[in-house]
Amino acid sequence: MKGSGALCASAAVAVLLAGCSSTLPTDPVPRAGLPVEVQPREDVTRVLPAPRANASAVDIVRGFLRTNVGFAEDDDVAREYLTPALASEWVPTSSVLVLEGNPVVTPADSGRVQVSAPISAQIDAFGRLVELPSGTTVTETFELSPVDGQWRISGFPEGFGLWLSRTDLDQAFRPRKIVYLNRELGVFVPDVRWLAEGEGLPTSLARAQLVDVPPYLEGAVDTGAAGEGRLTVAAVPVDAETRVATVNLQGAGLSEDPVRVRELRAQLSKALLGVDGIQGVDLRLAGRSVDDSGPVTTQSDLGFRDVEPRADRALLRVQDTFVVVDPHVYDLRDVQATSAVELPTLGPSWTGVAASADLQSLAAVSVDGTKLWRWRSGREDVNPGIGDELVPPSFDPHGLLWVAGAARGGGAPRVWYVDADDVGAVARPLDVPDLRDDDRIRSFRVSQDGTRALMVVTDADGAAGRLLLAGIVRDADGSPTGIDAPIEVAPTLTGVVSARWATTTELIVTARREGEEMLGGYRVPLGGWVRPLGVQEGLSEVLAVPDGDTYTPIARTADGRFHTTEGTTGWYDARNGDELVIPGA
Amino acid sequence: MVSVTRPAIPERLGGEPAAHAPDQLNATAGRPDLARTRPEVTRGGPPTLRAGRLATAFLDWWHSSMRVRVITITLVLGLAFGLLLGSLLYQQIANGLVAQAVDSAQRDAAQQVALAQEAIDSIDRRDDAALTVAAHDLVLSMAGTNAELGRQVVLSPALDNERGGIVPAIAVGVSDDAVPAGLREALAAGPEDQQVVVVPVRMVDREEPVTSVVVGSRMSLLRAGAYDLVLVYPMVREQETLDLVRGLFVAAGMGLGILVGGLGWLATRLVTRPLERAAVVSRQLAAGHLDERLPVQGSDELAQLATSFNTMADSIQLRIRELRSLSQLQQRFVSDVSHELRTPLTTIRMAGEVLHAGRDDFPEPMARSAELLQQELDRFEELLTELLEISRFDSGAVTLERHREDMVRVVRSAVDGVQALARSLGTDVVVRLPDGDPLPTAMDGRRVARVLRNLLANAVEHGEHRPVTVTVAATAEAVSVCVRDRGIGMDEAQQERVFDRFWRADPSRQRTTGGTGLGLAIAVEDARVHGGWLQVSSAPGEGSCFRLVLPRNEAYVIAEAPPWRDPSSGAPLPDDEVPPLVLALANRKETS
Repeated sequence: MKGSGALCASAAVAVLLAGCSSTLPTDPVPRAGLPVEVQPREDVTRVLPAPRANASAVDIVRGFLRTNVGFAEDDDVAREYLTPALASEWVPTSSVLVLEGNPVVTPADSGRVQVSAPISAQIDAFGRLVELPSGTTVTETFELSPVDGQWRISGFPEGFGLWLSRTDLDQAFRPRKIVYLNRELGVFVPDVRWLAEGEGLPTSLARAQLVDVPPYLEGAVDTGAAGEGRLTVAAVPVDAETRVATVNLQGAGLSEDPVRVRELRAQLSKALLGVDGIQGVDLRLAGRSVDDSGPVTTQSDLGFRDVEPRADRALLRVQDTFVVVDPHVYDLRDVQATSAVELPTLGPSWTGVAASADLQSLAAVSVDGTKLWRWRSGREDVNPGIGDELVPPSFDPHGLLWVAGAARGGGAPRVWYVDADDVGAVARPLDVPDLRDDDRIRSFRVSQDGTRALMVVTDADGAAGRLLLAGIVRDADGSPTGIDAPIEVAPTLTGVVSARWATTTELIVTARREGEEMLGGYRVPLGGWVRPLGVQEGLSEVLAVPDGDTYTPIARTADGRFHTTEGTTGWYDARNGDELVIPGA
Repeated sequence: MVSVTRPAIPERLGGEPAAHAPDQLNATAGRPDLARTRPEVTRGGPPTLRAGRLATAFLDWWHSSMRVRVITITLVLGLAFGLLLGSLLYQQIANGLVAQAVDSAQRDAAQQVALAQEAIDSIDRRDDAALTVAAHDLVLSMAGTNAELGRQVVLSPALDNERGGIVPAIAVGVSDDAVPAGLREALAAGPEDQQVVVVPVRMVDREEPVTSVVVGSRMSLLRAGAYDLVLVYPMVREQETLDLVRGLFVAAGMGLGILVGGLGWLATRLVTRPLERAAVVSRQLAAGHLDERLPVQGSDELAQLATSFNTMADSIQLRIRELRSLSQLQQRFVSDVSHELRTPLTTIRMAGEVLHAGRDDFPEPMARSAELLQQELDRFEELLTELLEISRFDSGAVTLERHREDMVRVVRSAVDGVQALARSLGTDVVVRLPDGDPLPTAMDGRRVARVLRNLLANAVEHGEHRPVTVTVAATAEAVSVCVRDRGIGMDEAQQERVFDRFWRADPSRQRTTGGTGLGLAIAVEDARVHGGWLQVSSAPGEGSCFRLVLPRNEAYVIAEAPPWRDPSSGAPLPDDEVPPLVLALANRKETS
């Protein structure tokens, strides 16, 4: 009894002493908690050869180039060919060259290996793919050093990133759309980037979306990413179960600018929801989600819309009259229900007819390129004082009519814009940077989103036609204030005679390739590989009839016939006519 | 030697209430309401003595009041129970807070690690710089801004990392070495589960360590291999909650103490007030206020007690009235008989004296009868006188006539009065007096002389012819007179009854002095009315000693019975010393 009493007293004292403790109880012995449910993703992995023992320097370089394609793999075998220092610095996606054939690896002096290879394209740091003229080759030297008695690459050529074959490129990279904005019209402006496939794709896409606008679009498009907004962590994780990509942003003043946040939400969601496997986007600012209702799962409520141009009818000019036809029908038959449309007649001295999307405005230039004819709702006007060598005009969605030509005072070619609603409006000129005085603009067409201009520029005698793309800089009211310095598109095409916007990311171009005599039609995705249309004898121009995010090419031959597509590459002899006018183009 | 003392001041049960008889108190020296003059107690002393005094004081305090005991016990037990219960609850709350924090931390860590692994897997650049920046950004994004606001993070190469730690260790909010080594070893041993410890962790922005939940998880960094992601969850808010709870517990404990004390006080008040009232009424009853009663309210136990008490008081009052009536009747009867007998006795005495005077003319037997008649008449008259005296004491009609007289002279006179008897019995009477001046004492000399004569006569009569010693001692305050014989002595039972009326040590013993049996009873009363004591100390075969102790000044009375032995040594006190006395001021003036 005494013992139990003492035990009770001791327990009571222990309880009192423990109870009087002012600090929380501790437990310093580790114990197992919840299971760590981090499982590696089951991706398709390539089995690439690691460096063999005692391999020669040439073998090391050859093996390295062969394993370049595995740069995105978890084991990243290619880095095993590098010295540790170089392996820690190598950024494969900084630059990509697309090889057109097998590289020729030859030993140079001690510790140096020379590699020569034909290349067909290059992906720059922005992720834009640019085809290179046929026959372009690259010759570079790799430096090697022995590491533990084994040759390893210790020095890359200047600007080296990856060298991939076309096949490897198609496996490792995909063209992805990022989007800019046209605030005035409330539409997305897509742009294409070639980004590496793999788990890092959402991160690359978000990163590409957040960088500054490329120079050729500066001032022409809007973006919410302007300023100091950046990823809080250089990663955009995608939840394995919900497939929601989380974009955590931070930046000074970002959270205080709801307009920017709305635009960023729209841009990032639009871009990321286009990736297979991503079903939602959770945009966070400093860790807090901007959407109280949950991640963005659809592209319909982003505040901006895609531009999906459609042309349900077209004007077929036959001599001096216009006939409304259905451009989607193979024989371009007349549209019977358009009798109410009042259309003017146009004499043979006028050419290059353009029509607004509602067919209420028409415009043309004189055959000698000195006058601009305009018609709107029965009212007609001719403006003879703009310039010379005027090219066929085009309407833009901002309600402007554009025409390019040569200034009468000489100098570099210019473009003019006129208020499309006022046939008597004054044409206002804009200069195009980087054009020489002897350059001539043969075609000037504005994209359906109203932000970019597609130009065909030749020399003074009309040869060596080039395809240029530039942004149209506008002020806050939407009035054009300038043209960005253009970039060349599809440099593999020479002798470009015509180019039109098929969609917002693809062009339809009439040109000939180097070494070819005949004109051909080409599909030119912006930042993609040029694909030829079927060959047509006597081709003079290829038009595009837009239908949302697709289009139908229509060829016009020199004998006055229009041809619609038949099969994948064939043409159907559809109908005679002088011009086929696609409204709004 | 057995020493028996008997208080010289008798209980006045059946007498008039003291408070109601101030006049009688002038003549009777009952146990007074006195302002006592005790020897001053010396303070201080050895520690053990002091501790003993403290213990005694505590016991006195403890036993002084039931309310004190009840409140103290209730308070102590209530507080002890409250403290124990509070401690248990406090522990449970602390453990609950920690368990909740651990659970929350585990779930948060699982989510954070999954997100971190997804983020790491989503990195689009794999060079060292990009990996390091991404890991750094990741750790920063996971960490709270300070210890109060969330988790702190440490990302470091696992112990079994074989890729050389491409990304260096990164810590936010805590230092890298804040991670317990045991946790990292446990992670190496069981990477498939979180490893959790709760330890104090030193934060970067705090001086004092903060008890934290530390959750370690294994994750894999691209190219960099296995890393330990350790999330530290400082339990600042839990600590604040615990502090708040402790404060509330302390406040509640204080409130509980006050409540328990108050309840104890209230409960004891409910119980003790009637008891106190009963005690007061009991004292008043004891003091003679027989009409006092307890108020009866309700029908609870206390009401039953009050009813019983009142019933008892009624019964006692009735009995006392009956006894008082009987006593008064008896006293009056004795007094009346004594008075009534005096008249015929006077006639009888006169006739007897005539017969006694003419006894020579009578024949021898008749003459002898005349003489016997005369002697018995003397005894009868003496008996009547003493009966009257006793009845005066009983009725409180005694009048004390105090004068300042020399005790020595009174003693000598009394001794001279018994010398004839002593000589007839062959007994020597030795008188021992203090040296020096006379001993003036405020007293009724007639009564004191009667006491002394009675004591001396008894001593001579029972002294077995051995010397009788009369010893007088005095101090400034008191005087004592011891009459010691060396006769057969008395046992304890006899000493108990020696002052009873009509009691004789040996009824068959021949009466030499012809005493009535009332002498010592009257002597005790005489001593009492002087504020003094008459005591006896005796042992069979060793004789007896009667000691009369009187105050020398009428302003004092002797409050307690003087001891026969020295209080400090225990040795018998000599007859020639006045025993240590407790004097009290007499608060009533006596007529003189």
